[in-house]
Amino acid sequence: MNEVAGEILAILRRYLSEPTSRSLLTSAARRANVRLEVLVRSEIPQLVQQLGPGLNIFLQEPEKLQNCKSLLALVAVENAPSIPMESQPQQAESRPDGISVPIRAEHDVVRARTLGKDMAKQLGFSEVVQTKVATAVSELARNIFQYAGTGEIRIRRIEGKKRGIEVVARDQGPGISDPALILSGAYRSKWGMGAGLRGTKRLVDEFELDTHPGLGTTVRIRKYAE
Amino acid sequence: MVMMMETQRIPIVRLSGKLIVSIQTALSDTVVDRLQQDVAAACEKGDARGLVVDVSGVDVLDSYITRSLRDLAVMARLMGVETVVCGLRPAVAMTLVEMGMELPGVRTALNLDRALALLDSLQPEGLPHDLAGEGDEWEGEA
Repeated sequence: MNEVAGEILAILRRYLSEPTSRSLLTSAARRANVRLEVLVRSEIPQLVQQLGPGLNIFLQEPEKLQNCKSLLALVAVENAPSIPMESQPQQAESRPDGISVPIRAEHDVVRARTLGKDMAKQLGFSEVVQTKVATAVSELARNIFQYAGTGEIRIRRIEGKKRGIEVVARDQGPGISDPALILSGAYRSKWGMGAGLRGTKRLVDEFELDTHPGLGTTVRIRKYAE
Repeated sequence: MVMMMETQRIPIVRLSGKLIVSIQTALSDTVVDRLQQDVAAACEKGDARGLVVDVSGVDVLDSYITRSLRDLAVMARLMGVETVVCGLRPAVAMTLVEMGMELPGVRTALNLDRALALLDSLQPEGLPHDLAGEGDEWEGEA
């Protein structure tokens, strides 16, 4: 198994045991007609496609299954943007610019948080940075659910001089009438939005809040590898 | 997922006069709220002298969950059951500090062993000594 195959294995290992991951990968490689010893990046999409059925069997928890598929799909898309994926995950949609998680239920807050952590881990961030990213995502997702009801979290990697991760939380909720007041700490909401937004700001390297009362709120944060 | 699963429950174990809660799952708000209720009910039965909440299996504690854990500890103390939160992962602890949420008023211990030892070392409930416990120095931030 070469380095490229190792990356895929590493993703599977997050959700499955070592033997299961290896056997899934081996059988998928056989079906995809690729060899793990000499796997090249352009072969990742076809390999990932063949992993789907096995994952459906071995990953019982729907949330983990979706997260795992989302991560794999992201890797596939990144390695061959021109090849469309056949088995798109249902909820977390992968696209070249990252993963999008719709926030509609409380359960989605946990999902977004887990995906944020997994993605930060996949990008090779330290445990502390992973945790900070996941915590920030959790705060933003909860705010969407509590205040706007529905919205979307989009997570993507930042390439370039400084490697990092960007999270955009967008909703069409009531907006925040006095963002400065909330960020100052003078305001404390029942659900702790003030604490959540202030905490998020302290956890990340860049923080932009764009809110229009009655129209919605967009929060964009960036965290760079330390 | 269209179908809603029944709310997951975190088990509360009774062991020699103590309640032990070991959280080994990703915490949703509903699960935490449910845990609060379950702990309150367990405290009410009256035979527990201490409560340990082991969070070593929790990889993310955000503001809401942290506050809920704190509320849980305060609530248990009001009912005469001292609480020790233990097993905070280093990354989680660092994140909480950076966010400015340091679990004010809650006793903490490195691991389950030390948490149980700490509970044993505490005075029986209700003594004045108890009220000036080490956790109280955190109250400034609250």
